[in-house]
Amino acid sequence: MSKVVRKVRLRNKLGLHARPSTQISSLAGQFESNIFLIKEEADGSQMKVNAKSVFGVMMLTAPMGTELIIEAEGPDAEEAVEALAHLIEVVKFNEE
Amino acid sequence: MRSNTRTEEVLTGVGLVPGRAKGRVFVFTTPPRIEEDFIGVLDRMAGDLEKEKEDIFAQFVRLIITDQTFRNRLKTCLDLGVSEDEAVDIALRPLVERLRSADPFFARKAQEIVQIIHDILHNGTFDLPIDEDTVFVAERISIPLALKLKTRKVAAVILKELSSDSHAAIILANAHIPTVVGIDPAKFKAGEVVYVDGEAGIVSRKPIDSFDRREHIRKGRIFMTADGEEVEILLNVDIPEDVFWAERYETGVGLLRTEYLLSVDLGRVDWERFARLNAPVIIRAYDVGGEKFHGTRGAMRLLNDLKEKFDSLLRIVKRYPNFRIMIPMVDFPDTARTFYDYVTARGVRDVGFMVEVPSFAWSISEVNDYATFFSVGTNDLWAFFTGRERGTSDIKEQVNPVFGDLLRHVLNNSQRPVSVCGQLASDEDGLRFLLSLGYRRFSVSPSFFVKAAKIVENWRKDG
Repeated sequence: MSKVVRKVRLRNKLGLHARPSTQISSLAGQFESNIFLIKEEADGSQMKVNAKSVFGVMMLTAPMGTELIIEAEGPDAEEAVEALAHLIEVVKFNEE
Repeated sequence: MRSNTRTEEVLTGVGLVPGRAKGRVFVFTTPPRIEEDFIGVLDRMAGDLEKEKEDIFAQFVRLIITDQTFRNRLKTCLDLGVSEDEAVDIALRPLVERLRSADPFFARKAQEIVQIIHDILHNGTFDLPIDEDTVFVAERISIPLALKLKTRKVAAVILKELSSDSHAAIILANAHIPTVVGIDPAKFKAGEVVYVDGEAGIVSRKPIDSFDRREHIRKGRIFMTADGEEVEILLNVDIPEDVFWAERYETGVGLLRTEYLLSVDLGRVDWERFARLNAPVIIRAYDVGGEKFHGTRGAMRLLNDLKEKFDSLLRIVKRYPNFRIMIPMVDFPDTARTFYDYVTARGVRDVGFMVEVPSFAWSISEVNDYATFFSVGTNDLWAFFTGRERGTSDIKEQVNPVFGDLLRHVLNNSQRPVSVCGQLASDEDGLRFLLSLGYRRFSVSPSFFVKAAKIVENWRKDG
């Protein structure tokens, strides 16, 4: 099974707070694939969380401008990455 | 003293959700423990919440209680023999810390979320004997209970407290369940029949149409004493969403606390609602330090480490003509002058000062040139004046002749309007005491507003 990876940047003013996290996890939950969000820390290490877990997504502590990697693996990985990237970069969680 | 033991026929609170209803009182008390497996309860609740599709907060709660990370943490705690209540706290701790530290929209919700999970645990499956004939009475409710009231289509709801932005309120409003807030559940007997008017904020033991509702409603900013003196009554507002109370009572805000706003983007506050009140809105600059927050307390912090935040607040005040800034914890006239210079240099015309430090109260005659108004914070003034620890003594102790002398000194030596926003003004005996000292301007807690207006109307100088 192929792994799909895409880089996105957070564009809404408040970053990944509760409301966007809810939207991400709700959306991710609709796909069968395993989906992860990955953030590179200042020291070069990576933080990887399950995108379907609102708990995990909130723990990323990602403000505006943060670059995230969406990683999905499964039968609908392509669609999942596309949908999440759209929510984050185009719809911008319907926020400023 | 007047006797208050007779059952009141008509009780006045504030209307939260309009509509009229009649029904039998069910007084909700501490919920019994559930017997069922906790995870099963969470699953059932998640199912209920899923139906509230449009509701982002309900979905947030649903995602948390179905979250594997949360459940694993919970299970680990339970396996270790930790009580269920404690397990919930421990399992949620990282999330709560995160919400508190970085999230503006949900900062205040953190505690509510913890409460909700506890409520789910306690009454997720408990079958309440309520139906369409029930008037549900409780201290307060949260989401799980609100959902239950919605599905059972109760006739009406009466609560002691409920912040207007609380999510439970939104559920009740969407379900069109007439709701009145601000009435103590202790006033009701289980099973008695009451009439609820969610528009007027009235609960009555006789049909609503059988009496003149206006006798029980108090709205407005100015009330007349029995001998014809004008008295101003404004409201103390803890968080911006509670502007709701000022809108309902058609008065202004005598004290908007801003400590909560420290963690919030000021641009996200709906200031227009305050502007539309068409009455003064007094914004007290951040009062932090001391026992409330770590670090030193005192006005000068506003010009040091809080300067940037204070400046943003001043820009908001400048934008709306009915807004005023008020400085807390001022010690001496020089400090007041420093603030007067600072504020006017930034285009803000009016500045008021809290009178809550005895040295400032004592020297108030020297501050008149730098102040537009004063407001007495009775709790701090009492604590600093008597050396009592704040919050440890009964409010009624403040009805004290020596304290009265100090309060009279403040009033008599100020050439500017002096109000009292302290807790003493929100107490029946305290308010009468302040009236007897000559005070005619007050800012009270929302639940005391109607009572305050009635006390003023019955007030006579010669007693």
